[in-house]
This record gives sequence, structure tokens and C-alpha cells, in this order.
Amino acid sequence: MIRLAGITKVYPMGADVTVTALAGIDLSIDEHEFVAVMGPSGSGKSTLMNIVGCLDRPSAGTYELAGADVSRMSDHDLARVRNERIGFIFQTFNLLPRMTALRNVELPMIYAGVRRRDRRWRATEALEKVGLGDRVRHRPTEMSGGQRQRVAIARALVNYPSIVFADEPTGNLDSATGEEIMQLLTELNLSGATIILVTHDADVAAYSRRVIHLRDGLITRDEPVARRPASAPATTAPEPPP
Amino acid sequence: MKVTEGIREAFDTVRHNKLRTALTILSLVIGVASVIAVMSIGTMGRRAVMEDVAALGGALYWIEPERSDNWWERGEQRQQYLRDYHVAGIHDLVRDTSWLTPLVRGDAAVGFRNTEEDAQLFGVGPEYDDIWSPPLLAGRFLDEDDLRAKRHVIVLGNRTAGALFGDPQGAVGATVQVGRLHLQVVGVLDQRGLSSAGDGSDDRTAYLLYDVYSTIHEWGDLGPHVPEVTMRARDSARLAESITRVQFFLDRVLPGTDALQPFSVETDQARIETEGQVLDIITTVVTLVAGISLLVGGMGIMNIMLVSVSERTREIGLRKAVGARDGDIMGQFLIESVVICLLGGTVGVLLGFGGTVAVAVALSWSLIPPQVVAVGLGVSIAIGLFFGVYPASKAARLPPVVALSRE
Repeated sequence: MIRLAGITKVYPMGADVTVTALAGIDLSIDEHEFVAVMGPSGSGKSTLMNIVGCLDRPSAGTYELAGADVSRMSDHDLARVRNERIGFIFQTFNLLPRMTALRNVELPMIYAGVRRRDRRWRATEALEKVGLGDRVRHRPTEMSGGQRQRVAIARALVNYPSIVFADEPTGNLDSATGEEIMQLLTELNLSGATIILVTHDADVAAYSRRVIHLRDGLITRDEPVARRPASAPATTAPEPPP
Repeated sequence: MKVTEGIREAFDTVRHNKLRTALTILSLVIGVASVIAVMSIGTMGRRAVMEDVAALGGALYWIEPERSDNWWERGEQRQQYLRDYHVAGIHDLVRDTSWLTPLVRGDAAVGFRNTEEDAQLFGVGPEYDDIWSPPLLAGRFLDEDDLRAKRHVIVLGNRTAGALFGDPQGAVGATVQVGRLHLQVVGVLDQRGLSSAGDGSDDRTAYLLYDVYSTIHEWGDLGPHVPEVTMRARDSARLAESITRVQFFLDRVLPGTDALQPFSVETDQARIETEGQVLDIITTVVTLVAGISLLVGGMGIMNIMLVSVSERTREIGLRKAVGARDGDIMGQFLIESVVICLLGGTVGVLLGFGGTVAVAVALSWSLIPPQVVAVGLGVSIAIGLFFGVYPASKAARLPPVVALSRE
């Protein structure tokens, strides 16, 4: 469902200096996949995720999402694509601190034009699904990091997205809580969502079925993960010479 | 995003920034309150003036020697005087459109048996009644029959009648003496207190016919003439026409020359208009000053909205990530700005309208209908929109990637 062909992203840095973040990416991801994108900082993985997540447009190349060319879409149409097809989970949770958990989860549905009553029960249902049925009236400031990330997951899945992006979802959590969150994502994947995970942590990447390695704006390796995680710690194979 | 959601979120934001919001709307409160107060007090004042005028019919005019602006010219010209036959001519000319009365004033003692009372004598025509409507307590005013028969009759002021007869009503039918004249009292006026008609008459004023009074008035070297001629158009729509006719007569019969001062016709309208204009100018100036505080308030709103936008950059990014369009963000911040302004406007309207009611009660003016309230709220909304557009569009234009990555 995701087809990237020759995607580049070049940032102008002043007069005639430019920085190339993506140097030509060809990539396809099918429905129901669980993909991890790994790479050192500066490898271009955030830029790639922004483009695949329809938050940004490539400088060149084409990006087809579910048959539609999103690299040529207007801001307005991209907002609709994000709203209907994509859920985001961030390292810093990005919850609105003034609002209750329920209201935070309702947010994507407000922009989708869902009626208030329907929003209520769908948000409640999503919070129950992530194990926060008794915390709907709490504000993020009254919650632990793990609970906050669960609210964010509920928000990401409430509009029934086909793709969920998780950008270092365990980066701000202790390892036990991180494991719980990864379990949730795995369940989400099993229930049908495509998950794209950005991480530099091999243990976290081991939950996925396919790992894509990025370096200097290019894909260096793209390989399946054979075994199921949680029991044995994942070992990273030595990088092949470029 | 629906407007109701935006309003809900705006109130949420305001609740979480109470002090900041209160300080921001302060100058807006002052501005709206003063605009409301000044506008409505100005309108009420103007209406009070107009009511006074309407009570008098509004179409008063009179003849005056035209005063030159050059003092040396004035010194060279001699004043002319209207004689009774001039006045009769003018009266014939405007009888169909106006009432007219000659007027000569004098002080004299009114005597009854052994008592005497000082009074102000007005020698007038019967149409004085139509022009000034002096309030009668008993009897009648001078009428056309009195004029035709040159009857020696008098209408006494309330205080004079009271002093001479004890009960003012008892004066009707009695005969009083003024100089060498014996006059029958045909009417007594009601008490007028301070609200004089505008011609200087009061409770000591006694009215008799000009033709009768002129026989005992001390005219001096000039001989009998008519010092004042007052007219009122029966229909104010025909005021201008009446004035033209009188002026025409004066220019033909008593024209001004190098040596003689011309006459001119003056009207109340000019004075009323001047009064109204002065009121308007004051209202405009004060409204402008209040407008400046609205402007300052608006800039305060813009400032606070810009702060709000930059504080909530990440929030904007998140909202965009979950599907908010530029228009949704724009709408959200515009609504927030309008809500803040409306809060200020509401407080301002309450203060301003309260002040207006206080003034209206103190001066016993009739209160104007509260449309100014709608004006005050409308102005607040307009300020919210105008000064909110720039911050809101700044927020709306933030690219989601940039907004999300900002710390």
C-alpha cells in the first residue's frame, strides 16, 4: 500500500549550501506489515517518516499511498489523509495537557467531523482497549509515562487508521513499561493495522517482522525478522561493508 | 472543526490563563465601557435638547437688528426701529403661515385697593398665547376680541395675583390699577417656577395688549415702537418660507444703508443646531479617545494571541498531525481571540450601560433603548476578528513538521 520511488529531500541551508537528508529512497510496504526503521541520528529516518506520514512532501520522487499520489497533494488533502489513514505515536506522547484523556483521544474525531455522542463512546472504547477504562477523566499531568503513552496509542487508533507510525515510542519509558507498550503495538498489528516503527533500539526493533536500515539518506539493508521477540534478546548482525 | 468545539476549547484556554486574560482585556473593558457610556449619554443628551425644542414647537423666529462683525461699521450705523404699522404689515404677510406677537417690556406696580405689587409688564398681541402657551390657572388669556375692542384687560402672573388677592384664583374679575389705567383681570397664570418660557417671563409677569400698554409705556425720545417681534411658524415645514417673506419685507421697507443698520430674521433652529453640533463634537471627540483605548486593547489581544500561538506550537503540530486543516487551526485561534474580546466587551457593556443608567437617573433623562449594547458587543467581535487574524493565520501556516519538532 506504500510505494516510494526515488524519494529525495533536500534542505536549503542559506545562500547556496544544501543538505541532503534523503538521497533516493525506493521502498514498498504492504498492508498488515510491522516494519522497524533503524539508523543512527542524521541517517534521515525522521525525514523519511515525516514524508511517509504525510507530514512533509519530498523534494523529488513519487509516493503512492493506497493508490493515490500523495507527493502532489495539497496541504488540505494531506490533512485529510493523515486524519483518515494514519495514526501517530510520539516519543514525547504529545498529549494536550489541559484536556482529559477522553478529550485527547477525541481530537482526531473532532477533525473528522464525528458526532459528539459517537466520539464519546469510541474514545471510551479505545481507552478501554489500552487498559485505561478507569482513567478517562484524568489529565495527562495526573498520569505516569506509560499511561500517557497508552492514551496516545488510543488516540492513534481511534479513527481506525490503516497505518500507525510510532516514533521512538519507548524512548521516554523504563524497560518494563516499554515492553507493555510494544505488546500493545503488536496486538494492534495482529488486529490488522500496518505499523511503522522508528527506533535506534535493537530490542524494540525485534518486535517487528522487517527491519529497514538507513544511513546517510539511503537504505543500506532491508531484511525480515525471523523469530518472535520477548524471549531472546535480539542480536544485530554486523553491518556489511558498503 | 465545528464552531461549538472551538468555543469550548477557547473557554478552556481562558480558564487556564485567568490572570493573563484579565489583564489583556482590561483596556478593552475600559474602551468598550467608555464608548457605550459616551455614545448613549450623548444620544440621550441630544434627545433631551430635542425634546425641549419639540415642546416649544421648534419653529420660533424673530427680528433683530443685524449686527455687523466690523466694530467700526457698527459704530457708524444707526439702529432702526419697527413701528406698529410695520409690524401690522409683516403680520399680514405671514398670517397664513405663522403666529406673530409684538412685545414691549416694562416694570410697573400693579395696585388693588391699598396694596401694590411690583410686576414685569409684557405688552403683547393675542397670538402670544399660540407662540409661548403660558399655563393658565384660571380665566383666559388675551384674545382677538380684546384686541378688536382695545379692551383694558390684564392677565396676572401667579405671584402677583397671590400677593394682591391671597388666593390667586380670586383675582379673576377684579379690577387692578397700573399707572393711570384701570384693567380688568381676565386670567391668572399657573406657577411656573424656574421653567420660564424662554422669553424671560416668570411668575411676576403680567400681560396686557401692546396697544393698551404702549399708551402708558415711557418711550423716551424714540416714540412708540415695537422693540421685539416674535413669530412661530404654524408648521415647521413652512418656516423657511415664512422667514423669506419677513426678510423680503424688511429689505424693502427698512433696508440697511451706510448710515442705517439693516434688520435680519433670526431663528431658534440655528441655536438648536449649534447646541446639537457642540454635543456631537464632544461625543465624537470622547468616542475617538475611547476608540484609541479600543485600539490599544486590540493590540493587546494581538500580542497575547501571538504569545499563545508560539507557546502552543507543538499543540498546533499535533493537531495538524491528527488531521486539523489550516482552516481548523485558523478558526480555533480566531474563535479564541473573539471569545477573549467578547469577555472584555461584556464587562465593558455592563460597566458602560450601568454608568449610562446612573446618568439618566441623575438627570431624569429618558433612557435610550439598549441597542448600544449590541454595538458594544459587535465592536468587541470586530476587534477580536481584526486583531486575531494575523496570529491565527500565523498559527495556521505553521508546517506540521516544523511545529512538531519545536521545543
